[in-house]
Amino acid sequence: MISAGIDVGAKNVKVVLLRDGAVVARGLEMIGLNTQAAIDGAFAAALAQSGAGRGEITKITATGAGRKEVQFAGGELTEVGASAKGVHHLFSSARTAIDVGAEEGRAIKLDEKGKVQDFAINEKCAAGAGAFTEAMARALEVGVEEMGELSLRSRTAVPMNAQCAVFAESEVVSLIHAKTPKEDIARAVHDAIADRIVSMARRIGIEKDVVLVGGLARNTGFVDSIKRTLAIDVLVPEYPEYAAALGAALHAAAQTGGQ
Amino acid sequence: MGPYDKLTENKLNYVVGQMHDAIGWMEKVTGRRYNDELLIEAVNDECRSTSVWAEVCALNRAVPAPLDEKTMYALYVLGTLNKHSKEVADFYEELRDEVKDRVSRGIAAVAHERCRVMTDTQPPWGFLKIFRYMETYGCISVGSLYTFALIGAWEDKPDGTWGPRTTPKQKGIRIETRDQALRIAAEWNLAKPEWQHFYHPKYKTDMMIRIAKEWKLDGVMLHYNRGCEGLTLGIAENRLGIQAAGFPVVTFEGNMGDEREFDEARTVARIDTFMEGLGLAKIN
Repeated sequence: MISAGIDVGAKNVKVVLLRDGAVVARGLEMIGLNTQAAIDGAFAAALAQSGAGRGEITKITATGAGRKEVQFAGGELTEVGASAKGVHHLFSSARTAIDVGAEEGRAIKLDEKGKVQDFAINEKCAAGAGAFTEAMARALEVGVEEMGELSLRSRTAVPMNAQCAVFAESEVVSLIHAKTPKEDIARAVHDAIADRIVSMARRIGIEKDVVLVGGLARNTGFVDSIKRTLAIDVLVPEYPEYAAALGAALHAAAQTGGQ
Repeated sequence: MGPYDKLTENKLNYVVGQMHDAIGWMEKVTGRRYNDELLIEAVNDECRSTSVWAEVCALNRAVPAPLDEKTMYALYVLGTLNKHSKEVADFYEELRDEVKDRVSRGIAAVAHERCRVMTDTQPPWGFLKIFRYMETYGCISVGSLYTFALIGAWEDKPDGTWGPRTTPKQKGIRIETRDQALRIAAEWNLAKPEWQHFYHPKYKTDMMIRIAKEWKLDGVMLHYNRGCEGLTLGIAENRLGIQAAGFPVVTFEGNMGDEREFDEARTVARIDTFMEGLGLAKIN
């Protein structure tokens, strides 16, 4: 019996297939202009990895901002609910989950059973999410995947004052013209996002263990910034971008009456 | 002036004195004599309409609730604009009787009521449909401190509950002079719950917790209303107090007047998350 969780985010579709409580496959596809094609592609990739046929998938739960697009899903879960479920499954000691995706950052307070006690979501601003890092990487003319390693090489903290992604980009351009090393600018970008995310998380109260998930948790520079800003260690799972899809798959499994 | 629980005779005299001065000024500017009979009538009707509105809101304690807040917005506006008029006071009495009848017959405002919440401050007026969206979960907003108390006059009842304030007329007081009318009007208005929290968020927190308990709420939805800083001031602190009292709270940002500051899709997503946290799924 295989259950599936499909997370249709702002940038990528993530799929997790679960058999008897264990992850058997993952699939990811970037959403271009055709969300449906990305959903089908990510699902097909996960199926191929698992070696299972479509008919073996008994239950499917969709999550993410685009979850309504998954027309073949039998159930749905909000992003907060799915993240909480996934994080609790990965780290039962988690009491605070921070989920930073391409467009949205969320902080979730969990109880010992993984139930959502409170949550905070960033408002209409990309300055606290992954899209901001991508824009800044473009301004620095480096790949977004290089941003993490680049910022870890920084030895000088450069304050970034702008609160808005648009103004921050102007500030980055000014720093480039002032011959500020790229690694210091990369760190400044991550510190700025971390400041906003942590400030949002503090609204719900930060309690250990803190788990960081979402695509931006792949960025080692951002993880470092979050740790420094929180002044505590944070746990990052091996596949942080799949946490919500995992939560959705767990939800689907529960609908079948088993994991 | 300070909060009502710290009102002194001197402070009251100050407000009454200002009103006397205003009447004198108006007589001088307009050249007309002030009509004290109309003043007395207006004060009596204001006390009546604001007390009856509180009675209507108190009836919403019933499960299922006879009124939903979206409907209350259409009703409270009469009291906001014309609380001193006989027509509004009469209308509210008629409304009260109708709501009483709904309660006695178990008529609900929302089909399948299974979750009760309250909001706070003015809503995003251009997006009242979010209240209808909440109904898809069987969720009703039974009101708010705003809808209850911007107009309503309240007092502690002997059984410890919050109820409609006893009017001077109900106490057997007959208003006969201008000074007496002004004194009653000033005291009546200074006691209004909605004004108290301008002095400290704790007043609002206490009143909101009281509503949450007495109106049997499952949660609270707070509108961070950028269009009314006065009513939104301290709301983040209210949130902490309400949560500490054991009620789940969700916040959403918006603006009662500027639709550009309200993100409908994100607000709906928050409602979905909040409902999910309360263990509710949409009713098919």
